[in-house]
Amino acid sequence: MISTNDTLLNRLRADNAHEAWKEFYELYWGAILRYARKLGLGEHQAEDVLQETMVALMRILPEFAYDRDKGKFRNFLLTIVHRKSLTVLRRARKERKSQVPWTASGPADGEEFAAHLGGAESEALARWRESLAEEALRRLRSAERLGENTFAVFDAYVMGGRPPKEVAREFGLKENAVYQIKNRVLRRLQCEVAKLMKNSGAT
Amino acid sequence: MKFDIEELLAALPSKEGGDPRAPQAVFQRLKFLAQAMQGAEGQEGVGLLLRWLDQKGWKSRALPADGCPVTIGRDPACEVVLAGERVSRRHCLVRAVLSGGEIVDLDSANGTLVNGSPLKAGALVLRDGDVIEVGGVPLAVVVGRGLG
Repeated sequence: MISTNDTLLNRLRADNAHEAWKEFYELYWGAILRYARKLGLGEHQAEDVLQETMVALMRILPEFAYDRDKGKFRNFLLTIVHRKSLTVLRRARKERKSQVPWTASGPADGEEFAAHLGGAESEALARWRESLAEEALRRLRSAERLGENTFAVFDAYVMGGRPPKEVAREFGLKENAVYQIKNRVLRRLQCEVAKLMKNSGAT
Repeated sequence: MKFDIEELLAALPSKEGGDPRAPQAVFQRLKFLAQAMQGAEGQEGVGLLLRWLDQKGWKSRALPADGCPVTIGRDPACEVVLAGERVSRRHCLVRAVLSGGEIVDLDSANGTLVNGSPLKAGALVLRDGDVIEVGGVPLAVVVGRGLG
């Protein structure tokens, strides 16, 4: 019996992680794809990142020593996604060394040469948070918890940066209603992002 | 392994469940990989392991990391024989190297895919968790712990 207080990470590492893996995949496939796309990868390449990240997690996670205080899982997950993205990006640039003849010396191991986060960690983390936020917004919309009209108002005012008076006029609302929509959507968005970040330790 | 990887990934969303926007091809490959990797446990001393399913169940071919190519095809003379109308007699070559593996298509009629992408001319680097498709037959590439 899985306690509702267990973190997703602990459940992934448990003997019976059937549902936890399903939950993990459903939570993060969108954010991982978005992160990879932000690094310049194409749709198919981003799917490679998703697959390779999941395979790496399946390999490593059972023996991963989680230190909650140090927030290592956040770094661990982000590092894997980031490295896999760079590996696939590098592979794409070199066309995966597709022109290498059999007689050539052994190919470089993408993992071995994958760039480390290093000083770019804060940038990578910001990109990851952004991916999570975008994924959260997509979830809100796809779950139909956000009406199309509500989203259109939010999109025009918050994301589009248009004046509230103009948005209100366009949608036939009072200006105050535009502010209310913004606050309501942001609250929901914060909950959704918090859920994603809590599970990835990205707090 | 502490958990049953096959059981775990059998739970991944299928076409009938989960978010329909999620890439279904990746789901299917991960399910296949989960089963293949589970069967690879305990295989030691090889550089790379190929795992595929035929009518009698899971099959494996271990490749030592000596760079010697193994032929995959329909011809009984191949080291890895796959039944299938779309498999060419000599379809592709795979070899294990220290860092993983390499694959090259032998101008097969229906081509070879790696993770859904068709192979172009020349050799392609193979990594742990890649899925090769030879005439529609999927083979998992396993370069796991104890295999390197």
